[in-house]
Amino acid sequence: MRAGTAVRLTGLALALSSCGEPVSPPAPAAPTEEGAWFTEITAAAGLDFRHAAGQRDDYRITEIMGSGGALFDYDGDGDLDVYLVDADDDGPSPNRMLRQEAGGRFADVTAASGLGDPGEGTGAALGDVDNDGDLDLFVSNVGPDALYLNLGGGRFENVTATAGLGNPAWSTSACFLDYDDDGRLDLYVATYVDFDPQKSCTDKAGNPEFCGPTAYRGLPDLLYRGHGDGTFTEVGGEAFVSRPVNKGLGVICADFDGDARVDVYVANDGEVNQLWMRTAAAPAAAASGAAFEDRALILGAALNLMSQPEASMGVAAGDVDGDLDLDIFMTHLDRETNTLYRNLGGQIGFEDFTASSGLGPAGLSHTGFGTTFFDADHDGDLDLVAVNGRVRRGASLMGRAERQAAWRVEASMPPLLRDYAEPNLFFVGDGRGGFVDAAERAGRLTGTVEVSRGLAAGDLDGDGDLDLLLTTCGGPARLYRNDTPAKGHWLKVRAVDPELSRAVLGAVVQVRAGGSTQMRPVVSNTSYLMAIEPEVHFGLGAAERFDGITVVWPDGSREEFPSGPADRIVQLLKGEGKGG
Amino acid sequence: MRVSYSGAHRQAGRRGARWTGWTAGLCLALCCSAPAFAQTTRGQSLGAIEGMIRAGRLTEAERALRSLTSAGATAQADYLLGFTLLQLYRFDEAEAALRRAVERDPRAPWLHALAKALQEQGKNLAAIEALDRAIALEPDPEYRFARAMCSLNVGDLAGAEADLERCLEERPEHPEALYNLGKLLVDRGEYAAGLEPLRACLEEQPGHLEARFLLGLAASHTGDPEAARAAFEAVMAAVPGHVGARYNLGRVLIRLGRQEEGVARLEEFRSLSRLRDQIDFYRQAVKKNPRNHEGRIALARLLLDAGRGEEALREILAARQLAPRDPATYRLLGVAFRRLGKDADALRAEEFALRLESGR
Repeated sequence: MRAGTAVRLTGLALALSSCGEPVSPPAPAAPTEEGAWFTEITAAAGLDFRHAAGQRDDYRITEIMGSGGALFDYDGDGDLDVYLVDADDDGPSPNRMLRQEAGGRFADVTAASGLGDPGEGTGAALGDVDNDGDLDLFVSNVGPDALYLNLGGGRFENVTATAGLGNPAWSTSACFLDYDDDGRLDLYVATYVDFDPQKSCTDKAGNPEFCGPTAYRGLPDLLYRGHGDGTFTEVGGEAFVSRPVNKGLGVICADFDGDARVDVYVANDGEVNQLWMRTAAAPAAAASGAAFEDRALILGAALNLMSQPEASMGVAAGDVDGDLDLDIFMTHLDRETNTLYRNLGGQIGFEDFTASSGLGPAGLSHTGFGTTFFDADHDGDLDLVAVNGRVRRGASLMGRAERQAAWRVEASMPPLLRDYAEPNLFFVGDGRGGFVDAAERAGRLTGTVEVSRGLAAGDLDGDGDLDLLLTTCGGPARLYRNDTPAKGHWLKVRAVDPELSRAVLGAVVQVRAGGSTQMRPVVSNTSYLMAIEPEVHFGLGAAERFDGITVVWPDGSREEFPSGPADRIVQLLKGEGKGG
Repeated sequence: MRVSYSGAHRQAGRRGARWTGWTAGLCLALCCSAPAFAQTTRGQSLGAIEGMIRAGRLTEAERALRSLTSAGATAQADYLLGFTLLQLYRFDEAEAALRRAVERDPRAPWLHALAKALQEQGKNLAAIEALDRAIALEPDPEYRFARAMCSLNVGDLAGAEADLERCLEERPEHPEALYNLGKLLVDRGEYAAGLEPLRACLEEQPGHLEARFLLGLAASHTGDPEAARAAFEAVMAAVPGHVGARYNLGRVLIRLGRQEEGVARLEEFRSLSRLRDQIDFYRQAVKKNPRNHEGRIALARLLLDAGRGEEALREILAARQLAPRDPATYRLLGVAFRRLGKDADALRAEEFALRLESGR
C-alpha cells in the first residue's frame, strides 16, 4: 500500500505518473450478466454481512486495509460454511460464523459456534492444531490474535489465553505448516506495521487521507512452534537466519523449490518480499542451525524486473505454465503492475514474467488485494481473479459506474470510501503462462465498483466447480456462483495422513488426465487474509477419467494412486498408495 | 507492419540533417525565414531578433519582442516570442504567445512549438490536439514523434506505437523514437521485437545507458544471457550503482550456471541498501514537504547514482518549478537528459544553466 512507490514498467509507468493531468484508467469492456461465468448469489443465499469500516472519519489506516475470512466446513456436515472477520473494535459487531443449510442458504450461528471474536479483525487461518480431524481457526487482529479449537459439532472454544498466540501487534495473513516435521502444525503470522492511532496524514491538497505504510515502522513476522495440543511457542528469533523488520500482508506456505519441504513466501508492502526456504535448500540456514533462510533475492522472487520492491498485498501460487512447479502472482498498488514470477526451477529460481503474461497493464490502474488461481472453466488451465480497491483517494469511479449500465454501484457504501472503489479483474489462462483479460465474461464479479479486499475459492454448492467468496471494506461480503458454460470434467482431492488424522498441508498433488499432468499444492491459506479448506481442485477438460495421481508428501516420500472416474472427490490416505 | 531498423534501411532513410532532439525539432530558421519575417516594425526587424535568438541573447530578444507585441504584433512576432520563452523554460508564457500566433496563422511548426509548451506543463491531451492539427497540415515525422511522447503520457500505448513506427519509416535513425519503441515493446513483453530498435538506438547513441539496460533485459528474455551479461556489465561500468543492472547481472550469471558469481553480485546488490535507504529518506522528506527544492535535488542525484534516470528526471523537473532560476538545477537536468539519451534537451538545459550563471 505504499504511496509514491517506484514504478516498474517504464513506459507504462510514465503513462500514469509523470504527467501533470489526471489520467483515467482505460474503460474496461462492459461485463454483461447474460451468459456471465459468475452469478452473484449473496442475497439469494441469505448471506447478510456488512464489514464495519468507513463509518468513522479519522482515516485510520486499519479502516482501509479490510478484513478477510474463511471458507470451510466448520461443522463437518460436508458443505462449505462462511466465516467473516470484522474490523469493529469498539462496536457491537464481532466476527460472524454463517452456516450453510439446506437449499444453500446461510444462517448466523455465531453465538452457538463460539466464534464471535470481538477484536479488530484482519484475517483467518485454518489448521488442525490438535490433530483431531477437524479444522481449528486462528484469527489475526489489530491487537491480540485469537485461537479457537474446534470441538466438533459446530462448537469452538477460545483457547487464546493458553495458546501462547496473543501477539498484541497488527497481524495480517497467516498460514499453518509443519516446519519441524514433528507432525504438529506450526504457524507463520505476517505482521504489518507498528500502528499509531495518533498519527494522521493528508493528501497533496491537505485533505485528510489514510496514511500509507511508510508512515509507520514495520514489524518482524512471527513463527510459532506448535505443541500439538493447541499451545504454541514463538521461535522466530532462532528459526530464521536473520529476522527482518518488514510490512507483511500476504503469505503462502508451499513448496516452491521442489524439495517437498514447505517454504514460506511473504508479500510485503513496499519492501522486498521474502521466500523462507527450508534448510536443505538454504546453505546459510544449514550452517547456522536455523530452520529458514530467505532466498527470495537469490532466486529472483524478491523484486520485480526493474529490481524494485513493490507494494505487495495479496499472493497466489499456482502452476500457470504446466511445468509442475509453483509460480507466484502478487497484487499491487496502482501505478505498479500486478506481478507474475514464473518458476524456472532448480537453482535458477524465478523470472518476472509479467510483461509476457498479459497480466501487467490491467493492474496499473487498480490497487489489488485478494487474488486466487483456479480453473474456472475446467479446461485444465489456471485462471485468475484479482479484487481491487484503492488505499489512496482517486478520481471517483462511482459516477462513471452509474453511467455505465453494466457497472453496479454499492449504494450503501460509506461516503468516505466512495473515492476508493474500483472494479475487479478476471483473466483466463492459456496454460503456458499467458492470460487474457476476460472481465467482460465475469458479470457482476468484475462489474461491481467497491473496495474489495479478501477473496477465496471453494465449491459452495457442491457441483464440482469453484465459487467465490469476496470481502469488501465497509461493504457486504459477496458470494459468486460459478456458472461457466460448457465446463469440462473435474476432480477434487484430499490428501490425508491417517496417523495425523488430518489433511497434510504442504503436500503436492499431481493428477494425470487427458495426456497432461497438473499439480496443486495443499494449502489452507492464500490470497489476502483468507483461509480455505485444504482440498485441491482440478479441471480435467474432456477427460472422463484421470489416469493416476501422485502425491509428494512433505517428508519427501511419493505415492502413486490408481486411475478413476472424474467428477468426484477423492480422499488419498498416506501409506495406501504405491511407493508409500 | 513493423518497420525494419537494419543499417541499410536506416541509411536509405536518412534525410538531410541528423536528428538532434525535441528542441532542435522546433524550427527557427526554416519557419522564420519567410518574407513576412523581414518586415520592420518599430525599428527592429524580426530578422534581427531572430539573429539575437540564434546568438543566445534571449533576454534581449524577449524585450524586443515584448515591445513589438504590445504594439499589436504579427503572428510571427508572437511565434518568435513563444519560441524564446520556450528556451527560457517559461512554458505558460510561451503557451500564451504561441496560442496567439496559431490563432492568427496556424502553421504546422508553430503548432508543434505550442504542443511543446503544453507538454512541458503536463497538458498532454491539449498537446495532442495541437499536433493533430500540425500533422494534418504537414505530416512531419518529428510531429509524429512528439505526439507519440504525449500519447505515452496519457496511456495511449497503441497510439504511441503507431506514431513511433510512422516516424521511423521516415527517419529510421531517430534515436529517441528507437529507444521509446524498444522500451514500449519490452514493457509489453515483446522482448524479441524490442531488440532491434534498441540495438539501432545504440548504434546511433552508444552511450545511451537506458537503452543498453533495456537491451540487456530483452536479451535475457530471448535466450541470449551472454548478450544480457555484456549489456548489464557495460551499464555498471558507466554507473556502478545502477541497481537494475547489478540485480539483473546477478540473475543472468545464475542462469549461465555461474552460480557463485551470480550470488556474489546479488549480495553486492543487497549491500546497496544504504543507497536505497537514502533514496527512501529523501523521498519521505519530499513527500512531507513537496516544496523542498534541496530535498528534490538530493533525491535526484541519488536516483541518478542508482541508475533510475526517469525518476530522477521527474524530481529535477519538479525542482525546476520550485527554483526556475537556479543554474545547478539545470546542470543536473542536463545530466539526466544525457543519461536518457536526450542530447538536444541536455544541451538546451546546459546552455540555460550557463546563461543563468553569466546573468544573461
